[in-house]
Amino acid sequence: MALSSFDFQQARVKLVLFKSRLRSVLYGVREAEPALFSVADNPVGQWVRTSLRPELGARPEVRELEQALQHMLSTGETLATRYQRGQIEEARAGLDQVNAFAEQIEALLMALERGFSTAA
Amino acid sequence: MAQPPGSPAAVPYFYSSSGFANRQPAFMPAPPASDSPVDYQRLFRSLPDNFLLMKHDATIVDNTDGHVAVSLKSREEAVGRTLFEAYPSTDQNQGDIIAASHEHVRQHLEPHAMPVIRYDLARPAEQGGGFEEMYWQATHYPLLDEQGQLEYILQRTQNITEQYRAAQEAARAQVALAESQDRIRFVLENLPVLIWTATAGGDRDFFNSRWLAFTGRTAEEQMGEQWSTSIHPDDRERVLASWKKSVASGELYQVEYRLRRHDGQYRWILVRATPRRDAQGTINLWVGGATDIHEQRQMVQELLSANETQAVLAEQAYQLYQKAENQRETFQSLLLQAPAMICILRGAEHRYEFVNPNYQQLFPHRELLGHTVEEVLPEVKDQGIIGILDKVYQTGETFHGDEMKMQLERDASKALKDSYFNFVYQQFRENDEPAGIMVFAFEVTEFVHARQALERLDNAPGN
Repeated sequence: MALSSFDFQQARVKLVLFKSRLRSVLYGVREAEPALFSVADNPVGQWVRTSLRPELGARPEVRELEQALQHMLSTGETLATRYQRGQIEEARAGLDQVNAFAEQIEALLMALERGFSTAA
Repeated sequence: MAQPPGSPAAVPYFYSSSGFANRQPAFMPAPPASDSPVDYQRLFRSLPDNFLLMKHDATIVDNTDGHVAVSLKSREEAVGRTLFEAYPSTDQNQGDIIAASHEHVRQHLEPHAMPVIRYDLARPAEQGGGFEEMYWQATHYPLLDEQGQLEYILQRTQNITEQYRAAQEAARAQVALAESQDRIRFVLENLPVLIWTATAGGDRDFFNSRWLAFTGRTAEEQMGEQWSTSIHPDDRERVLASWKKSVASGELYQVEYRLRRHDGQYRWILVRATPRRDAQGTINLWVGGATDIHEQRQMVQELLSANETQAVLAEQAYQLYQKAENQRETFQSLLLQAPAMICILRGAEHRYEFVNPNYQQLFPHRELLGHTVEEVLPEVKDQGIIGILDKVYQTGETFHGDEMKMQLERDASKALKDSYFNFVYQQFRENDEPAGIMVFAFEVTEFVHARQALERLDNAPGN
């Protein structure tokens, strides 16, 4: 089934949820689950694999988005490790970098969605 | 304050406005004993200090060259007069202070120091000219005769500029230090942060008033390791271990824990402490600051559960959407393949939203989708069809057409052909409002033509 704006909304919801989960790890509200930083198990990663790639895999933005996602997840994992070592403020300060990757991902989603709707 | 020499008066020890009549016979010291190899008067006058010798009644006997130089008054003008005559005071008060000093010496036969005064001396032209700020102190010493009676009063005027300046500097430094300490204390007490300090060994030795107000404890109750009694029992062990590790290693101390507030509520705080090191690198102080992050942490928690709920809802909505989408596709394919002419007209203008192939075959040369019936089938307007559609749309009453005749242009020939249909116009609603009309039709033109032919045969003369 072709992607709709509903599918892209799903991706955005998952992206926000990732940021919220990471923040809760860095504020000691919740322990980090291993799946959080894995491209294969992370909900955004799963969406890319099952929804985005089959439909729009040929688009260059998809490759870019996968790379930004990989960077965002590994940065998040570094921050969580820092927090566990007691470098609390340093870990939280690093959320800026995660936000930057998330913004890049959002911009790519928007570009893909726009391209998709004009093509449709 | 500066008194240029020559302007009489501020310094009574030195000079006067002169011209005062000399009522006393001049005292001329006896010439040196001929058997002494030392000229004591010359020696006295040459002493490297400012001495003024007076009788017990203040009559001037002699002075040193140094005194002559700083008083700017010749010895001849001074000797034989009283101190008060030779160097009149600027005001009564100053004169009284000198008289009282003399009286002290006369009564107690002990030295008496007068208050410090400022008296600026001219700076030589080669040193830039002008006046140099200087401070002086005069002391009166009693000189007794062989019977122990007061014979002379010796005035010694010392230039104490350096000591005075040093004392002033020390006083200023003291004030600055006190101000700086006061400033630091003010900052520590008023920052919106809970602040403490600890010794190199890890014992807390200061808490600012915010900490004390927060915990509702006195400083004495928190000193040393007692502060840890305010930590939540579940966090205490972890916090103390972390603190001990930092004290031992000198690493930054950073920890989050629940601290008991004065009202008994435990609040999450973030604490950071840094060691202060001396020149040798040895830690001599820890300073720590804590901020209340309870609300922030709660917000993160609430945001997380809101986002998780949203994600679940979004997933459910997406499943429903997919299901609806699948159903729509199923219905659409059924309608497309149905052996009838079907179209959907949306809105009060009857705009084609869906047309199946059977319907489209009626008008193979016309683009229907997205256009209104009136636009693409102008010939039906005068045949009352638009009126029927309007009525169905407005009233919701289904219209059944039975072998209804329409004249339609069915190709690009511009010629209207008689066509007969059995059909249904049925209103559909969305959100409880009329949304459009579904058309379901069969063409019966051939059937009608066949019947008409049959009727003609039946009615033909001869039957």
